[in-house]
Amino acid sequence: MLRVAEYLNKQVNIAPLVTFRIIFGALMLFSTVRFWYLGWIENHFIEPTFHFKYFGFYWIEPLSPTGMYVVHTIMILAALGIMLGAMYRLSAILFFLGFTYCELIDLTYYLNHYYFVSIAALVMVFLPASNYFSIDQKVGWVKEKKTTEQWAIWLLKYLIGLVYFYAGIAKMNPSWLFEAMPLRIWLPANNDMPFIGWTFNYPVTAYLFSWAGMLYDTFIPFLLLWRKTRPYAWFAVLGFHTVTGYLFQIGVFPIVMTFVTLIFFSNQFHEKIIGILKKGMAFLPAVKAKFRPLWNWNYQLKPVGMILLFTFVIFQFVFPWRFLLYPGNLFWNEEGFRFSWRVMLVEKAGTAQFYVKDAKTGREGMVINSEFLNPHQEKQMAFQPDMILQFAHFLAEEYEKRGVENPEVRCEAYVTLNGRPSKLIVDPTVNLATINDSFKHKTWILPYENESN
Amino acid sequence: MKRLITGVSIFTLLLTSCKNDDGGSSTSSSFNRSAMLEHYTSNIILPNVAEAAIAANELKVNVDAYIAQPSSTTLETVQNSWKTATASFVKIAAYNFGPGETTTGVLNEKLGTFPVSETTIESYAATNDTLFSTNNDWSSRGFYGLEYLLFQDVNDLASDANTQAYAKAVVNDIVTQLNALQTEWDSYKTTFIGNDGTEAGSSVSLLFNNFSSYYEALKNYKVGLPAGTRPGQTGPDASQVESLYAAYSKELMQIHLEEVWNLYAGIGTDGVDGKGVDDYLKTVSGGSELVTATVTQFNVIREKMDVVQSSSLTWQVFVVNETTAAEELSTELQRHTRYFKSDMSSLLGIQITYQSGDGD
Repeated sequence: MLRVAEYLNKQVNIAPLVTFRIIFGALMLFSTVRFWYLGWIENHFIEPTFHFKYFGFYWIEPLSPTGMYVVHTIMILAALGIMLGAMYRLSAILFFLGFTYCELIDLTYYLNHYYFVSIAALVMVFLPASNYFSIDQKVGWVKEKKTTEQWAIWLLKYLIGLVYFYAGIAKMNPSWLFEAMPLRIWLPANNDMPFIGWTFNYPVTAYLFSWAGMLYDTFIPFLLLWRKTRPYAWFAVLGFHTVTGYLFQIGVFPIVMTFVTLIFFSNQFHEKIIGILKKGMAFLPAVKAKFRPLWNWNYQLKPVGMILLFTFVIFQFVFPWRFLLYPGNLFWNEEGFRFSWRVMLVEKAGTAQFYVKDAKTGREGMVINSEFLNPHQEKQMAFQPDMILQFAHFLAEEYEKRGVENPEVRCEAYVTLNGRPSKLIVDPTVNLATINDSFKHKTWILPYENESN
Repeated sequence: MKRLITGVSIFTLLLTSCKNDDGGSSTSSSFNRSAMLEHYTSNIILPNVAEAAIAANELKVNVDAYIAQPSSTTLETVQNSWKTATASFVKIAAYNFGPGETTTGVLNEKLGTFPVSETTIESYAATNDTLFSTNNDWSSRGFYGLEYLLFQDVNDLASDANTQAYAKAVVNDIVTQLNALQTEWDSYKTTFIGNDGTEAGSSVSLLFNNFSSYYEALKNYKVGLPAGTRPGQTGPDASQVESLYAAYSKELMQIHLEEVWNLYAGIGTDGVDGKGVDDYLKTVSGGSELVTATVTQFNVIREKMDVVQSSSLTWQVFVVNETTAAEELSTELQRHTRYFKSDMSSLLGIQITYQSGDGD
């Protein structure tokens, strides 16, 4: 135990952590500004009348329109603060809270990489990332220190490595490897890509991409760790994310992953980057500030810190395996699907028709989903059983207000998975209004027999 | 640096070797989306838009003629002219993208909103408010607003100057919009055909989204609502039918249903079955099964629609007297939805919304 502590607390060059801070801050700044610019604050948080909640976070509500813009303004300033190392800890805390709050408002927009950003921001709060080459250090709020405890850098590498590794493990399933699904759907749809688009019309390309993707994701963390393979590995990262970023509508994440993986590079590499940045800022007047500590954290891990660190690390390692506790097909039931780095894994879509019955008159009516949901909400809800359940509860409440007595809500949702003919995903005879969500297996999901996964 | 160069070359090599592996070794699923878009534009959209514009211009002539000289003959002419023009409008009511979409709204809500508000029409007419640019009360104008004036408010139309001015303004508005639509499609045509990807905002995605809303408009608003299939409705509601005053709903529903099929199968206005979505589907994995399922269920819908069409009752009477048959049509339309909505876009890999997906 002492040895472990000694190893984790060993002083190493802080440069990789500092460039990570700058890169992460810059990317989050870009991502938040982009989100705003695209009108998504309006579209995601303000316009919808109904929001799908995260289990256990039913109490999270969107703020007023002004409030939502204020939150995003704070996030922009906080990202800037992270990047410059200005009031770094406060910035990291505010960014983590703001970002996580926005993610928790509506389950519709869940993305694995948003989850990654949330936990990375949380981790950043505890790291000494502004001890060097930062505003905080320039004005004397923190003492300049060119080294850091080794665990700080390891933790970030671990998180990034985990994303890839588990994404790779998730691809080890029969559909992905032996049917080249869903790439056999996605590639031909993108056959207008320059240079290589024409090859997408051949199934063999889909197989090649499927296997290459699986091998890439699984092994890239190790190839990045090993000094000899690192430069090639990073070019593979660059190539991979360039292609996926072009092919798929996946926003800023190709850029985010391409640049955060730079943390695997050597101290010298990062010192060079910082050196270039310093040169670029040589025109700024030199500030000679006295050290007036605002906070003076000790980053040496003591037993409590060790316990917290290991709990976090083990939790991240174990949590993605919780799907093993549920029966049935994971891709169909989606029980234990989220927060597990299952990215771009299935092509799934559905059409969900809800029926609301007046218990008194016995008359049943067909709901028009678009009356309550935006297109993206409707699309995501239609194939995810827990969202179907939430919407059913909303409909029961809504129609009770409109005068339907003791509304019974059932749903006929036809879902297609990886191009197979669509079939019912939930029992259309069950009154969903009386069922409550829990961590238990949802017995009202109809099984997906044909596939053993 | 040397290492980096080696890295780049290995990566390039990998990419090129992919190309060599694939060259003609297995069957290609390539489908020329641009050719499909070309066919839709030249043989379906443009001729339909042209027809709608011509019919609207004729309608305007006949409205003016009736107002100038109200008689039973001119009335019959203008009423028939409305039926023709509305039927050709129903055929283009799916084109709510590109030139059919403006900042104030889309084509179908601007000209095809029903049921109309009689009181709003009356009050605008009474106050001589014919400046449509000042409000977005779509339920006070368009084809169904004009229908009220031509079939219900006939006496006022024959004698009241304000009503006459309002009718002229409504028909002028229709003509202006459809003429503009036609002109703009001529220049939009190239952009539309060239944008042949499948991402959100691509022509295939626009066509798909509008096609599926067009289908759902028939199901939800023309059939479902009058048949009383919405939650909270206590029975059929004849006041919700598409064409209440002319009692022309049945004919318009039939045209709407067949136009859905034309758009799906790529059947041109000349009746020739060209490169359609069904042909596109047949080139992708699982597509042929979907096309078969679609054809089968669509025929069931047609049978139920035939029951409505062969009845001597108008749709607004039918929903009340033959409620079960009306509900059956609604049910079969509902059963079909998934084929036109999620199954189709999923198999073709069409992105239907702009939000970021869960990506690597």
